[in-house]
Amino acid sequence: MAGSAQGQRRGILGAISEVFQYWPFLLSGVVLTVQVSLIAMICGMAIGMVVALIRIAHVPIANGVASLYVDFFRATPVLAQLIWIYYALPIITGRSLTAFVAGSIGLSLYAGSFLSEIFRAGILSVERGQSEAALALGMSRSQAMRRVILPQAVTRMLPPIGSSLITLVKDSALLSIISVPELMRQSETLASLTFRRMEVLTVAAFLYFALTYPLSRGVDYLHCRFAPES
Amino acid sequence: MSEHEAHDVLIEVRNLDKSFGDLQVLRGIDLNIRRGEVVVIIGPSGSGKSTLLRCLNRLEDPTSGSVKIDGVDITTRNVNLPRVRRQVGMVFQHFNLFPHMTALENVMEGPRTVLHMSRSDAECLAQGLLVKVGLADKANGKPANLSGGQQQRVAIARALAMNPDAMLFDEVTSALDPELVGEVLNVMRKLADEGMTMVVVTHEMSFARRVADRVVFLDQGLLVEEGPPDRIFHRAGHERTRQFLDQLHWDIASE
Amino acid sequence: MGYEWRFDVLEGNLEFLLGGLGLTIGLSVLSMIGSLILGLLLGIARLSPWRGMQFVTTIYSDFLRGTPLLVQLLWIYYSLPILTGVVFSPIASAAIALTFNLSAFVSEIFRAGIQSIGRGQREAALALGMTGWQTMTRVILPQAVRRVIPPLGSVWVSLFKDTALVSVIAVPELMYRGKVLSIETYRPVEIYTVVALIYFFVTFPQARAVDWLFERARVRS
Repeated sequence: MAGSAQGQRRGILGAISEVFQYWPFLLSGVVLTVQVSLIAMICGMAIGMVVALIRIAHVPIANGVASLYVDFFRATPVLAQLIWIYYALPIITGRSLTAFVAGSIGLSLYAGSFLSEIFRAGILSVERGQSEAALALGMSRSQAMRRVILPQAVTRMLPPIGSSLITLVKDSALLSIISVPELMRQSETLASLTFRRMEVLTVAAFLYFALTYPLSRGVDYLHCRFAPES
Repeated sequence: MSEHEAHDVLIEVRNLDKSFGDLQVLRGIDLNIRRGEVVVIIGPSGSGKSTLLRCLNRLEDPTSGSVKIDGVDITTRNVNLPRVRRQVGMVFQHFNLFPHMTALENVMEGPRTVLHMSRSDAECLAQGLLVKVGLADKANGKPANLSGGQQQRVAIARALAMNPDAMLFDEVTSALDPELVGEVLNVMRKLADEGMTMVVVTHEMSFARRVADRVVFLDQGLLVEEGPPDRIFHRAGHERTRQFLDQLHWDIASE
Repeated sequence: MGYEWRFDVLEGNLEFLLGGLGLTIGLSVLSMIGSLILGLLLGIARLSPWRGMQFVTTIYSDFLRGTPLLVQLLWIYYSLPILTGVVFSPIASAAIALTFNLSAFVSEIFRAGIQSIGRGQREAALALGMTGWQTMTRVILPQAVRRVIPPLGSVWVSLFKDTALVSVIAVPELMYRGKVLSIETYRPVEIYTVVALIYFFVTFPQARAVDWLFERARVRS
């Protein structure tokens, strides 16, 4: 690492402005971070909803598979999952995956596991009496779910779903380890380019914070509005 | 006020104002409470009764005015609050017993932690107080296993354990089932007979009539009227006081 | 699609991996203890009436919870030597980063736990003449501790999984050893599968235990 501690410190502001010259480079990383987080969120919600409904309905074999899926992805590190999907899966299937695709699949499966738990808890938290009243009116199970249960469950689920998005944005940084050119990776590249690792990392941290802070304020708002008692 | 009378005054409230934001809850309250007096504060809800009581041990901070306890102004900046609060005990509407301690431990807590009493002395004191409130056999029970009336009596014992000069009672029977109210009022009456200085906020008019030395009527933050119970309940001077008592369908003939 | 799984590659190497697990556990325990202490102090500080203290602890907590652990880890590993002039070993940097990151979450948990204790408890203690400190230690915290145990259990489980990240600064815990081994043996499939399975079998019971803690707390209230 070049430069004395003093020299580095004095030059920090100068260094940070130097880093800002590479603004577009970092921005492309931010764009990818946002993309991959949203992909994981959307796919995760789809997976999560299906898995949650399977588990609630106790569909015979599918239930076991679904539970195993959720348990497995909750009990292993995201990094281990990503590395496995990027390095091991292509060998097993014989088909190669780009880092972006591997990362998206990994994050989506990971997101699906904890989103399914959020959905499951949200649906189960709607009182029994509600579904009983709906069924007593002659609604089918799926009608009851669609017209009565889900609308009530949705509001309770909004805050934790918001939190999940924040988690995904932060975990997207792990994709740098499998070389996806998102923000973290771009920072690493920039750091070796400029030898200003500390400043680059600081800027990266602030960029992540700029993404997550509005989201967490949004989650606080959702909390107040939809789930004040919890 | 003669010097003799002045010594007698334990709690002196002067021109007390209290506002919560835009809402003014107490207006210019002047009140003296003498040693050994039982003062009962009555009034409609929202009149500021509880707020006034809580200003006396500064659980609420007055917006202006002063409160003196035994000659010491407790509303000044650098007053030692914990020390002041030792002199005045408080019993709450919702008991507020410490759920992680037994009844005995609840009563011992003040003497041990605040007065630094030894364990055995505190235990002895606590046992004695629990006997006094009629709960000797419940000493090792946790609050969750006691009825409301029992919990409130433990709460009274807990406050008494600090050997306070005065006791404040904040609607202590309002949260109790009717059949449990009597046991608490009996303990309070015993205390009054022993000469404890008491300031009681309550809706229990028969208690007020029988035990109070003085009744104070508060309405919309103003001290409307005060006097001996006989006068207030039968010959109230102010229209508003009479209205309030009428609303309660309080009928002395049925006593 | 016939991939031939050959787990014989594990012979003689399993011990190596499990040694990494030992370091994972040790690092987790160390960081957990550190963050519990730091988090408790911060959680209480967050509730202090001084605006300045509230502000600082809020910023600390928001920032550490709002940025990726990976960024914090790398920042500490590369910047601390520059700023302090002291060179920290990878393990030390890892422990420091994990402790600080977790303390932000722990402080929120303690803060919420403390605030969930009804106001009446505090008033009763103050009315007896207890100081703020006595009120906190004798009345509020003993009750809050019960409530914070399930969320802290969650934090522990996350911590355990998060240690995998420190492999990027070459701390020889389980994940790192998996990487090293998969390169040496040219068999990433079996190695990474085993690594994932080890994590699973160690973490799963703990995750279940935390679920049970939450269930028990829910039933109680």
